[in-house]
Amino acid sequence: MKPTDAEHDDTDLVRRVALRDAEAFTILYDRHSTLLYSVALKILADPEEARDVLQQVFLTLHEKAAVYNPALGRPVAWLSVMARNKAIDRCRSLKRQREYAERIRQETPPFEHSSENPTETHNRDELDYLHAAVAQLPDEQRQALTLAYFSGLTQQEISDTLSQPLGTVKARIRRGLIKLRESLGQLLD
Amino acid sequence: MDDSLSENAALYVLGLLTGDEQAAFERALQEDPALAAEVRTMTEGTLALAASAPQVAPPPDLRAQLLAAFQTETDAGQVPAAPLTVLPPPSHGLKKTSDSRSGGSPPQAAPRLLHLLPWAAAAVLGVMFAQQKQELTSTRAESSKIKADNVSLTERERHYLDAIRISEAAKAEASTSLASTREALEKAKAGLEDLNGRHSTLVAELNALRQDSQLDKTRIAVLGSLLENSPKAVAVSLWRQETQQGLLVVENLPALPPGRDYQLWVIDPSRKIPVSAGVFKVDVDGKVRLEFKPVAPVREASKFAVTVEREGGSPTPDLKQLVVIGG
Repeated sequence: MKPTDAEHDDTDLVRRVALRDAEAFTILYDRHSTLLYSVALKILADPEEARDVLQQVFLTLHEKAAVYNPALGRPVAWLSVMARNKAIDRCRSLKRQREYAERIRQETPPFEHSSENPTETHNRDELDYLHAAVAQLPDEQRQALTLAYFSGLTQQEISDTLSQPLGTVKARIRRGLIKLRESLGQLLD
Repeated sequence: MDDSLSENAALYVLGLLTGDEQAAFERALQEDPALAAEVRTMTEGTLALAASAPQVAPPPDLRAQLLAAFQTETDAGQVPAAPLTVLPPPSHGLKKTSDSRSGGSPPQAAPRLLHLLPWAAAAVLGVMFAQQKQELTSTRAESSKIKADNVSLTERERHYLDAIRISEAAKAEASTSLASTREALEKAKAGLEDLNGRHSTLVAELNALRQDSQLDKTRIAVLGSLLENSPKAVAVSLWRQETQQGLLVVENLPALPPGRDYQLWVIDPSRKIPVSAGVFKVDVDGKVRLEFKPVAPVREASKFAVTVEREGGSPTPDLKQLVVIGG
């Protein structure tokens, strides 16, 4: 699969959004809203809060489309990081991260192949591919990454939660992300 | 790429750097394309983590709401709210005015002010025009927001109305079902009372027989139904070995079609074939009392059975047509 077309298409859509193109905004929403909402929902476990986060993400897209830098990642990755960060911020403000971290830690192994609702905005094969990439990570990397991505804990808190030295946690996160990117190489390049 | 820089790129993407660390990293990021590439690698990596969340579609009304907001902002953005520009009056050049502002002798101040009157008027009109434009833009934006809110509220209202309709339908269905269950319960109750009454009758008859001094010489057999369509069918057989005579009391047996009879059989283990004890029909209530005497001597009446046979009876029972049996 050569998704560079899709990538260029997304990048082009973001540029068009910067020029106040409603159609481009709609296409991006239809294409990625499920993924972004799902990330927020996983972090917040609250549909109303997740809805607010998704709303914020697309309003931010509207405001910041002009400053989007393709060198730092594809639009979907940029938007998903944005959704994740906003959800984490909200989660922190709701002071829920502690109990959620515990939940994530308990849930992490074994890896769950989640497909509650097949999304219409993402290719099924692509989702499966992404799932497989996470599933193939060594347990300790997957656990550190899942905790870092979904819980919003600090480095030290992750280290405490996993009872691992800080350096080990950082290395696992870095190696895990690199491995994920390598796994996705065929899909993304 | 240095491992610690790469680690920082990962932590940066995940928002795990502290304030100072993040500021330093962002400075380095602006100067180092390799670091930007590393951030891209890490960012792409997080996409797989995002996809590992169970995929759930967002609320459908949000799309319309966001699009309305986008449209509103876009419409508002098409009219520049600031800076306000004032057009020069037709009879005076901007340069001249500018020059007169920057310098000029005081004695000429009054005429200069007079010259400025059209400028002042134009400026006032321009400001008023710009203010009206701003107000119009603001009103449009407000109107679009209200429209978007209305869309959302209408959808929510429709959703609630649907929920109420579904709830009312379920309530009506539950009421019907409850009424039907009550009716069935009443029928079952009546049937039970009827059975209890008949049971009492049979018990009374049994008690009457027990009072009979010759009861010990009487064998009593209760014959249970084998009929799926008449599970309540029951028969009691009283048999006196000594006199080779008996009495059969039957209840709830279905009426037979023309050309068919019920036939009573006495099963004697010393005989290969059951002994016929006569044929009978039941009345409209499915009842009969039949005094019987087998067609051949019975050494031991171990069981009694009733079958459906051709009219007038058969020499051997058709066991496929067994109606009641007991001993």
